[in-house]
Amino acid sequence: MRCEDWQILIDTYVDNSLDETLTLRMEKHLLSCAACSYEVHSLRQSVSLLKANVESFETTPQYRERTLAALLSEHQQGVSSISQENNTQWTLPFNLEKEK
Amino acid sequence: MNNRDHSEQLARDPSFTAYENRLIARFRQGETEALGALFEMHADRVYAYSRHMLRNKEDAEEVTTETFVKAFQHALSYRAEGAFTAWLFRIARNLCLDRMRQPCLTGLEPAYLDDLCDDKSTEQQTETKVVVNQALEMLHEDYRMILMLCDIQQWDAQEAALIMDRSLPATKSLLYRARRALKELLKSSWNEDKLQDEM
Ligand SMILES: [Zn+2]
Repeated sequence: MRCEDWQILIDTYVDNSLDETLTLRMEKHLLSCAACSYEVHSLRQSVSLLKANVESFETTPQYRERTLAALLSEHQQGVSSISQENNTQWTLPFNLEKEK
Repeated sequence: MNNRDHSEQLARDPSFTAYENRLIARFRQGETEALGALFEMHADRVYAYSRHMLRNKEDAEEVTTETFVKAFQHALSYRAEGAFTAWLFRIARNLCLDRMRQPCLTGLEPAYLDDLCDDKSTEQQTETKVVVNQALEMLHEDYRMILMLCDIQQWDAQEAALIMDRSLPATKSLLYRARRALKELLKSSWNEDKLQDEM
């Protein structure tokens, strides 16, 4: 296989999705090819930079408290409306509000 | 370990999936405590995903709320228990897409520069963070979405395919193109000297 053929397989190799035989042959090619080797390195480095530096967002306790209370109250109203109209599909009042 | 890492690690654990399935079963039987537990388990991941997609706190909070409202609304008719979380993310993804198609009402936040600078980081660490987060923001929404799912939140490609409503080969191909696009943006953000250090 020529260098161009290996280049096509680089993404699959970086993803650890290449079969064992091709992986071994790819690794052999990487030892002798600076271009492919740099490509593999920079792709892996990009992914690890992303993982290490991406902003981690979390909900605030206030948001969780407020939302959970709303979900629970809507759920309870939904359940009671089911017991009133036995065979209708279970619907949350949230959506009924929206449709008005 | 922060909360996000912790919940991602939990989500990969088979006993966690079994626990989640029991919660869904309990929720269907009408136990409201199960609803609370499911919300607490997934709220941060759904929010982080939405926040990166929408780049705005208020929109991300609203989408997170709507996601759970829809999920709980349909949980009684939903059958494929094993993939509850993937299904939840599929709802979140669709809601994010709906919002992204609307004219921008709330406006985008500037690339979290203030949040990224804390006292403990060195100047170089801060710069790397800024460059990486700006690159992620600049990517096409499909690229941002697939990188969020596969490389940041660690879904496997099969699950991501389910969430993105694509075939497995199409999902993998999208992931590979997204990684290359990210790499090119990072390369163009750093000069050659810096590139040697970072890359
Ligand atoms: Zn080569």
